[in-house]
Amino acid sequence: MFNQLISIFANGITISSTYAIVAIGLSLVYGVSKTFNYAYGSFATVGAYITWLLFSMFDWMNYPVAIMVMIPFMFLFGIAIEWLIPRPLRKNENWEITTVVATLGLGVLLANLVLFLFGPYTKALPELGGGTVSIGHVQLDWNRIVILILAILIVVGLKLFLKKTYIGMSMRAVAQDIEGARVVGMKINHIFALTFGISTVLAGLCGMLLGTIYFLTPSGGWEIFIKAFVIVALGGAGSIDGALYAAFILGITESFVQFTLGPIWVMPFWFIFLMAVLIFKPRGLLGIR
Amino acid sequence: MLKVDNLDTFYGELQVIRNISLTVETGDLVVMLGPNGHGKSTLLKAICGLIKPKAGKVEFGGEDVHSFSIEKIVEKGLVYIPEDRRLFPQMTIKENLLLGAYNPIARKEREKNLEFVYQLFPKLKKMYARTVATLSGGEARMVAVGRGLMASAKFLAIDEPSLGLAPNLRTELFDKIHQINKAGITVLLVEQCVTEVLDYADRVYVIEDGRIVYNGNKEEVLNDKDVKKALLGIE
Repeated sequence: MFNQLISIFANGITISSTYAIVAIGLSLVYGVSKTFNYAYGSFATVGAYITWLLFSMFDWMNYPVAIMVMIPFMFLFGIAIEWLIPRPLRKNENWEITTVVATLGLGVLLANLVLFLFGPYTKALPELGGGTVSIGHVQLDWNRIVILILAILIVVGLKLFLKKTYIGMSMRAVAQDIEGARVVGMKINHIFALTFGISTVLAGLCGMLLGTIYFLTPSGGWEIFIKAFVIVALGGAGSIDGALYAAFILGITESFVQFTLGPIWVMPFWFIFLMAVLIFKPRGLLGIR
Repeated sequence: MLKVDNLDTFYGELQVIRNISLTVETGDLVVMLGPNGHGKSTLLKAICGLIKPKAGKVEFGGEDVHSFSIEKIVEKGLVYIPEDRRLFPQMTIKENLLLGAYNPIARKEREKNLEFVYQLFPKLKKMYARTVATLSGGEARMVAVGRGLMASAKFLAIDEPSLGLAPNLRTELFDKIHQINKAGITVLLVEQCVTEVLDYADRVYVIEDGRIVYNGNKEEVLNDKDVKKALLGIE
């Protein structure tokens, strides 16, 4: 029984760590540019299918190379999308609403593009590491351990980037006071684009990591998006640490609910959790203003 | 250095600036006085390129300010310090100051400018790791002025720095602004009717209902009894 609890908990932690990556990406863009990207889940789908494509095209493909290809690809993809959609819309009144509609449409478009190019059949990515490792009587998949390690590296790397580098500091500055950033002479549009690019990379990496656990489907991104959305709302929109904590709270909850009651109860439980927090803290756990 | 020509500015239908012309010479400290809500801040923002005027022209160093983006204007050394400061609240004093040096020219002179700011406000050097949200009004003012200086400013446009400060802090801040001016930076200062600032001013403009109703140098203001009484309430 105890061992079972441990392994449920361990699975919860790995799932949480992947959720943390997407949720942080979604929250980062919202925090900096106050744009909510509804196509975000489809970005994860694109990342996962790109990885699949790389593995099916080249026999010698491995994950380090796949990641090295994916990061610049997703970054440029994100920059291009930012330039095409939120940027021109932001010039007009009501851009908050128009970007919602436009990114939602983009999400549908991308999911269908993936369907058109890759077909409706589910696909699977190779595991990051094969076999299991035993710690005491608890057995853990290598795949999940590698996911956890990669996720920690990504989150720590991102936090260091935001804290220590000048460009990361500028991103935080725009998030905290955009008027102040303008007065200082920051190139706000560049910072928006950069943030969008980084968040797209995070979505792609998350899609890849989740693709080693679950099958890939063209519309699978929507589930990721809805989960990321709930996590961001629970953690507080715009807050990176909030998204991190919320991802772990909800990810571990998911793992326990899945085991005890079954997968269909996961979202109801998330919903209850979200409502309970929002009643007392309408801005989420660490929401700003 | 700065030349404003027949400027008109509107907020929607409402005309806030009515045909204002003024000049600021290099190295001067110019004070613009006037009651609240009479267009001083709007004028300052229009001068710094943050608001597009309906008509008229602002020239800085012979170039039309409104033909440039705000980034470019800051890079040219025309820096606006807003009345509500607009600092980055969750960051430290030092981070705020360093972010002031965003433009490429200022980035090269970052160490030198930081040294100047710390020398001017030794308190900021001592408290460099404090989060800005925890600062008092006076301290936050210093950070705002410091952040402006970090942009390698040649011309500082400061919007009501004394707002909400106790009289002794106000005097201290004006003294610092005077020091900044003596270091060779041109200053355009917007204030409500504050007498102590006159001691440092090379030239005074008085703005009322969006128009300049008086302009003169310090001696002229102080010698003109009517003006002195009407505008400053002193005998």
